[in-house]
Amino acid sequence: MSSIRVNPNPMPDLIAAVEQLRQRENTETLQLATGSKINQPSDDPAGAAQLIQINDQSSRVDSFQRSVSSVSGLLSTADSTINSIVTALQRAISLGVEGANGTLSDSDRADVSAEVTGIQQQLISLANTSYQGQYIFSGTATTQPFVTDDTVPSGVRYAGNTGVNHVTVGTGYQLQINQPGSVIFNGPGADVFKSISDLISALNSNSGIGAAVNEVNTAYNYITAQRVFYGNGLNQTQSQQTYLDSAKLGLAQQQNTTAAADIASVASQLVNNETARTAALDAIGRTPQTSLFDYLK
Amino acid sequence: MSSLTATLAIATGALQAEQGALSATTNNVANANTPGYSRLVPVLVESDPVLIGSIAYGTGVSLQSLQGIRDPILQLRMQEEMQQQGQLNSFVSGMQQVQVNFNSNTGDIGTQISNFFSSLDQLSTNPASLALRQGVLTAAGNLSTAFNNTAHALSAQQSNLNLSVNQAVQQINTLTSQIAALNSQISAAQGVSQNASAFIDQRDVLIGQLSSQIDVSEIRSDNGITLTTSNGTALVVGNQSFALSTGSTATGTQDVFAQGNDITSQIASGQLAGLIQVRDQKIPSVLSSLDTLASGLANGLNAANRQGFDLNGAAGGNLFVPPPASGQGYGSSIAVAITDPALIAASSDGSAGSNGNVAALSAVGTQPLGNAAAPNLNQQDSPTLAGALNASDVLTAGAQTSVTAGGVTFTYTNAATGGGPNLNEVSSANAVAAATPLAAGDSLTLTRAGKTAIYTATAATTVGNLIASINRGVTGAIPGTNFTVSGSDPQPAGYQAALSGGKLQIVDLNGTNDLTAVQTSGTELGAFSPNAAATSTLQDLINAINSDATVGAKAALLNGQLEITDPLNRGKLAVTTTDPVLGATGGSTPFATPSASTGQTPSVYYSNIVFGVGSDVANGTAELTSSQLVLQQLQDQRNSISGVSLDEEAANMLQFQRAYEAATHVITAVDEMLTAVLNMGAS
Repeated sequence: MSSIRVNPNPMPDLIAAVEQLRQRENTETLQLATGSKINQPSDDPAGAAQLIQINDQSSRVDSFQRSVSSVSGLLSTADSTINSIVTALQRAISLGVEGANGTLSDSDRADVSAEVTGIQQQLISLANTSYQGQYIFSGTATTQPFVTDDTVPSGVRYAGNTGVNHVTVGTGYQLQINQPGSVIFNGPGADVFKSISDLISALNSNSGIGAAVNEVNTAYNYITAQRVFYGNGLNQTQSQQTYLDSAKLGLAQQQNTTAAADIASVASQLVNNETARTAALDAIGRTPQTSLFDYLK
Repeated sequence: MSSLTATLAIATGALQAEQGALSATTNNVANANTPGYSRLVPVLVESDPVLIGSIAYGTGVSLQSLQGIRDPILQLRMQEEMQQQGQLNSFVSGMQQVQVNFNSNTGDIGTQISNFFSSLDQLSTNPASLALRQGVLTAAGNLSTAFNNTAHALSAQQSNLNLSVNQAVQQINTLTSQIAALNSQISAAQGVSQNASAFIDQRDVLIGQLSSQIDVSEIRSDNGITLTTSNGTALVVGNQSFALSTGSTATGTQDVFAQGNDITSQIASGQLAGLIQVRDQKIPSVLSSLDTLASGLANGLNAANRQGFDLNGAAGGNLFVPPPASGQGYGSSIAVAITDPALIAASSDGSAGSNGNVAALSAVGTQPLGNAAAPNLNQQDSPTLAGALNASDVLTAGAQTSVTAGGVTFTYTNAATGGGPNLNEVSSANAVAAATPLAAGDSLTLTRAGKTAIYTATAATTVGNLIASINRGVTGAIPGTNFTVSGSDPQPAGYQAALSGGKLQIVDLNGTNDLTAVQTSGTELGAFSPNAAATSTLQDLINAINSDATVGAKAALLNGQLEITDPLNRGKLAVTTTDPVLGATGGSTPFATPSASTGQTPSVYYSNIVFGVGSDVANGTAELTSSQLVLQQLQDQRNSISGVSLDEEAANMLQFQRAYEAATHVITAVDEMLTAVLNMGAS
């Protein structure tokens, strides 16, 4: 016998081939079902590691976005509060000018004085505005920042501190989110409460009203300038929001590139594999079931 | 010339030979699907001829043997491949179980690390919010749980692998005793020239099974074969088998012993090797990485938390139960140390609304692991004083504590001897009421940092009026009161006066340490003394030490112990005390040395663990697939040599049948010839 003897039983080979195809089909079906080509770290170890870091960054950007929206809520509350204070001071100035009019009767001036006293109360209440349970003008203290105290000349004592808080709104980007109330309301020579209290005293005593109005005017100019801080802060949060949105988009794209299954190609591979498996099964079916024994009479 | 009877004998011999050959074919056909069966080939040889005269007469055919067709070299190759495959099989299935713990889901360590640092981001937007603080605490708890679960799952897998090692060893022992028994049967059969092919086939199958369990080297000799492991441990020698045994080690793992020797680390392949590799190398390495990650995070966050102040203004403590110095086992034991969300030290200045320290906590997430220890805490060579202390413990009057670092000694004297260095408030010695009268000309001098404010009464007045004057914070004549202010303090704002416990208390709001007050005329208020003198507590001592830039030591109360550290890293820090509350110096108990930097942030470090596990599975699987292909090819090769082909057997059968038939025809012919011979005389 000189011919090469071949493996007379090829069945295990065929079964193994079918098994392999079936395994590939399972993987592809899983990829189609989850939309991800990394369903366990061994699917792509480097990709899985990268994905963990992308997910970490993405979760960090999510929390920066939440921080930004919380901060911009705080900043816009502070901004509109200062806007109200500015309006109140404007009204106090016109009332002072009105009170300075020498033709005004004592009782009319008393009415004006009463209205300015009302404005004083309004200002105290505005200075004690809080956002999410935290006074916005108390520095980093949690106590009510402005308390009425007859022992101090302005009648209002600052009980907050001079601390400022920063909030991280991006990697390495810290945004200052508050100005201590003492900076805003008790500026050098521009104390809001002192000026109003002096105006009330002047109206009551009908002396030095003009000087008191000037004092309020100085405070008005000073606090108007303080608005810039919050305006800038709001601008920064807006541009940071835009930046974070695009960063998020970029990370989502990286996530896609790293992990997303190419649905079209996976689907077509699946079809190819199915065809191949059908063919293999067909081959098994057609493997000669007969041998020479069948032809022996 | 040959005789007719001799011819008859040749034909009869042919019948026997062909019948025997046919039985080989029958056996082959019957065993066509028997695993490990080697086909039999009849070995027919021509019988020795007989020389009569000058003619050599053939004496027919004889069946010498039924030979099993096998290739021993191929068999060895298959055994080797089975060893490799056995190892890869158990390695891959073990690592797949490890990998399950690192699949990305909502509860895995990576996600929990991200969640924890996100919760800190949220806290920074409103540091006083208890809800956000609870969020941080919950995230820290989830992070601990993720570590615990993963570490426990891996340890449980190790115990299961112990069981698998035991089972594999039992199976090996069963196989070696069976092989030894077959060895003796084979040598017995061969001793009497019997066909031992069936036994050899069985033995080959068993050696194959043994190969998938452990590394086996085969030595063939006359009295059967000798099997050893690759390092020379005998498993089977001839008809004797040597059982392996298992035994617990100190660490609780099941090791494999051969005749009293521990051969666990020498097993090179087979399923047993894969099991041991996963149990003794891979899982411990993953566990130790988890320990490093967990203790790095905990050390960093603890140090950062201790830098700050909690919601109550007290110095922060540990956020996590501190890891052991080696970090070993911390993955399974990491736990949050606090249950009160107020104890998270978000504040950097002691006020409840400050978020300054949140940035320090967050930085742990972006700094290299192990480097995250606070830069101003050198935790080495730190003495620890006493135990079970509270911040409110009152220190004994007159007792002294001194701290020496880098040659600088600072002595803190408590209570009655008159004030520590950190005092910014003074109280009058005499109890007074607001209505207490002060005489015209009475004056009070307040001095701090080279500035002096002198409040002088211009007319008879009261203590209440003095308080109002101080609080107005203006110079010159103070409207509505009987006081004027003079001195070198042009704008004495920043003092706050009040009655506290019946005594006049004056606070320096600017926090300067050296406020003094003297009633220069009049005796109503009595002498002033620094306020802290009355109640010098451990917290006062801590504050005093922390505010003293000369020594630069840092003090904190940790787990009921006063710990003093030297941020400037000047070697040994010496602390002595005469205070019975603090107790004797606790000696120089070094803190754990901060673990060496891994150079990776926590998230990167974790992703590298996942990469390691993932690539172990991926590489193992790839090798397993190729090993399977090789084994399949070897199997094909073996089949092409030893496998039964039905076509071939049918052809052989026809051949033997025809030869048999031909021999019967010869017998018939000889019979007729003999009949003819016998009838010759009868006719």
